[in-house]
Amino acid sequence: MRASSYAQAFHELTTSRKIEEGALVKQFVAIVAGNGHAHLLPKIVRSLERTLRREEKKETIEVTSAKELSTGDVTELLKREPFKHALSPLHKKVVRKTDPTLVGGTIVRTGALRIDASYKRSLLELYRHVTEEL
Amino acid sequence: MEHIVEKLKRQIADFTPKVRSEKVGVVVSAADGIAEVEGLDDVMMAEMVAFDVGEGRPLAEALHDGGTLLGMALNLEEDTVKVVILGDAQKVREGMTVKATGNILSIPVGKDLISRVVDPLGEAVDGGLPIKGEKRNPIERKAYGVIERKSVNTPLHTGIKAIDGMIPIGRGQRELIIGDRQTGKTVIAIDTILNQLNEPAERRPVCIYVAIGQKDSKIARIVQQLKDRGAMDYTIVVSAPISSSAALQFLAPYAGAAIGEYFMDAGKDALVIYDDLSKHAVAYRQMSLLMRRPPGREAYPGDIFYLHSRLLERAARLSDKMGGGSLTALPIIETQEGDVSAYIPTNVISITDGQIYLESDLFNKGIRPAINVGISVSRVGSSAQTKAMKKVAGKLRLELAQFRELEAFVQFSSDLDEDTKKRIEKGKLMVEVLKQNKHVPLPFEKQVAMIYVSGADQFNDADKSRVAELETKFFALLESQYPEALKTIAETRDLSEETQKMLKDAVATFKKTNPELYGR
Repeated sequence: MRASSYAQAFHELTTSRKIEEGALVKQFVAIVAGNGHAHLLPKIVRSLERTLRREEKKETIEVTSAKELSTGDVTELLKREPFKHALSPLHKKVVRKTDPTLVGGTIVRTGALRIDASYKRSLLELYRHVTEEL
Repeated sequence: MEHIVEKLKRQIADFTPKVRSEKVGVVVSAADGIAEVEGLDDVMMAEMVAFDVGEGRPLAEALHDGGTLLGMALNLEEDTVKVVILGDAQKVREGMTVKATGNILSIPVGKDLISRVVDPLGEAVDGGLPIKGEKRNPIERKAYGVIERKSVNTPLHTGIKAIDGMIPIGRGQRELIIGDRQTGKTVIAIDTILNQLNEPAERRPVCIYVAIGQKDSKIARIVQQLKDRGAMDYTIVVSAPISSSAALQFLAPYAGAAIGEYFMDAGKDALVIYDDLSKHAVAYRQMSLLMRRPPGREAYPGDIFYLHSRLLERAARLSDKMGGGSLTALPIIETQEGDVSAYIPTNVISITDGQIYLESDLFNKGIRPAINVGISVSRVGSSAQTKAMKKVAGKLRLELAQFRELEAFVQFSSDLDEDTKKRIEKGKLMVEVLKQNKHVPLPFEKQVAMIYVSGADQFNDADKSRVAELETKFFALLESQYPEALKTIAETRDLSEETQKMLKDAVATFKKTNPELYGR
């Protein structure tokens, strides 16, 4: 039995909220120990942490811009192309970040998806394009 | 100047920045050239990934570095991916963004690589212009199957009498060069490249020398030798010196094979030399241990055999339907104290179509190339020999084996019959004839002439301590007075009765003009 399978089962039971949390933890530990897999508990915890981190990333949309944007600016931006495809009903949180090295433009990131519309990237691509041609 | 400005203006005006959605991951740890990345869920095995080294750094600095550093995904695990960093691993930081490129690692290939020195990623390391290539070939590719191949039947001359006469190598063959350190393994490989100058341009293969884990000074010396002799005009050097990362050393032979395949697919002949696969195995062992793959015998990972078999299987002679090109492989293995039964040597011996075994004892006795004829073999055999060479060298191997047996026997017996004495004398002569200085490969026709006259008892009374001098003078005589004999052998690739007579006449003339080289 893999630690990740235990972690996934525990996570799904937690999100379904069918069992009260305290009771769920007690039952879970008892089942794991009963199966002779108590030694897997530290791995299960780490796997659960990873799953939660991934879930959080999926629910968070991170907007990085060269200059600070207001909440209204970000809402407007996320309605526009190409960023509107990144949005999904899963998103619960918007994080705004500022990175002056971007020169201009925006980077939107959610989970494992990144949409880079920064000037820095465009300038780097232009540089490569010109130097390769020369 | 104006032209450059105009070109720049046009390029900038035409440039349209593309905004793309990308799958990215994050570096969770990086050490010893290996990065553990979380989030690259769809990444493929051996896919190229790009570390965003410019992230969070000013544009000027990012431009200076080129913005990205490449890696190759090798261990696809449950939650993370282990990536081998192909470059300066010091630049990779925890939390850095990694982008999946969707492409299997590939290198630029094309004619513009000829006479260049490149690294395993196809970047020029000779100070010349960047390499564009005609296309990109994947570094890892499945070898051609049975249907696409045809049997090996065309010789690839090394210019070394002992090899071309007794252990012939065919185009598309894989012949291992094996021996201890300092026994002349690289010399055989380099001589084979140099000898291609003796081939007509249309039959000359493109040579690829892959240096794996060699000292930079040795690679520089080899490149210089090739340049000085004009051999770089048809040679490509793939350099992964000892100072480069284990990942680059691991990739180097595959890069060499990918370059060779370009020429083979174009219907041409290519020769690739892997110098050496022992160091390649060591580099792969280092990578595997760092990636926490379970160690096996001699701490090598379980797939070490597959590492070399999938590489060497890419050598092939393609059928006429496929263009008829070929890729010949000469892998080199360094043994320790002559132990051919170690793990890597036995693996590669079983994969290849024969081996040229070099011995320290023979080398120290002055027999160079120090080939042990007894255990050296070419499984392709005489089908990869010209008619002329088959005629003259057919019995050579047997005669030498008999000589070695008799030589051992003679040490215990002083009273010998005439026949035995003759055989021993002939054997001694043949050993001397097969000696050859390094970097002096002989054209095929001269090899045939020399082996023929020696085998036909024409030089039996020659002074055996002066055979090298005799050979030089005999070739000079042939070139000046009997050029027709050499020309006929080279053109017809056969040794007719008429040519044989001409060669015997040449020996008669030679004896008259060089009496000092005769008498024991």
